[in-house]
Amino acid sequence: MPTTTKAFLIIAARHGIDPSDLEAVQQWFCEDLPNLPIEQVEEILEELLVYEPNGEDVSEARYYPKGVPLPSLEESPVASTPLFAATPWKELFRALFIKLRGGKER
Amino acid sequence: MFFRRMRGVRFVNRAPTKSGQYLTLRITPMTVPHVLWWHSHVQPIIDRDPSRVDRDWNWLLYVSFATVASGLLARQPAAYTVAIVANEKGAIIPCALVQLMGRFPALDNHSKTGAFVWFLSTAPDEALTSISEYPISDDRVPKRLGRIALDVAITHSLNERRNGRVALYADEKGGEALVDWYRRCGMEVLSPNIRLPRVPRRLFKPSDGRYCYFSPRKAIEASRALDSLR
Repeated sequence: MPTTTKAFLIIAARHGIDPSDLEAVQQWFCEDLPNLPIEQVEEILEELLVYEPNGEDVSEARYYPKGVPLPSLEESPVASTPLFAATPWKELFRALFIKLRGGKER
Repeated sequence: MFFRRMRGVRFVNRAPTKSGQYLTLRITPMTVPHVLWWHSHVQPIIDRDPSRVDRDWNWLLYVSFATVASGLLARQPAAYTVAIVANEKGAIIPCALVQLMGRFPALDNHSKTGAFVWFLSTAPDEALTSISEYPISDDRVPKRLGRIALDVAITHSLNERRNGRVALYADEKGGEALVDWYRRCGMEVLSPNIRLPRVPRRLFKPSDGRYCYFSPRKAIEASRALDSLR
């Protein structure tokens, strides 16, 4: 259910952004939307989730930023997993088994 | 099955390549720098291909919903970047992006909740072999990126105690081939006769044979299938 860019343009226009200026629309969603009250963000999200283009022209304007460096490894941490999922159970049980056998591996 | 649901699962951390060797991957929470790079380098290549379902997508418009206050939003949006680790450069190379709603009524059981994939995209090979700072040869391009991206959604669902339930809507632009691909990944297709759960979407986009979902059993099977990559 991807939402078309058109829906985002409509919402940005409602907030005073020129929808033909895609760079400004991108900037509004990246920088201004996060500062809106949470209830308003919630409303916008719900609106986007149900938006249907109804046959209108959905061809999009395109704007690509230039000279963007590769994202930093340091600033891209591994997504967290629950403690027990990250535990190497197999290795632990194997080590325990070996210990119980008096330190001898079969 | 029980243990996987109880303890959660680690994300995938490597991908096979044509060369037979594995490439180190990192699944990381999506941030603005990831999508900025994607939009400057990968999206222009996708946009040139009229057959791509993700043509004209604009991740700069989506990312904020997952990076800001996502825990406070009822739908609990989350977004992940699947990236190649380029240790020698101290950088990552985003090769797939996944954005989902972490809490959405499940399609197979309306009293339960699961994840709902909003956007999912993988980089075309050309985008990965044409990076001037870090050229990747053809035989080192990661394979199975689509399945890995889908697995990210399953893993999120399992780790958030949603039993692996994941649903999505296969974009019409992808035709029957896209629905078939999701089927091959182990997803079930919601019959057009079965109604969606009580969400506004039921009115605007009713069940039409393009809603696909992983039930807990199917999700576990799909998750197990990628265990060798964790």
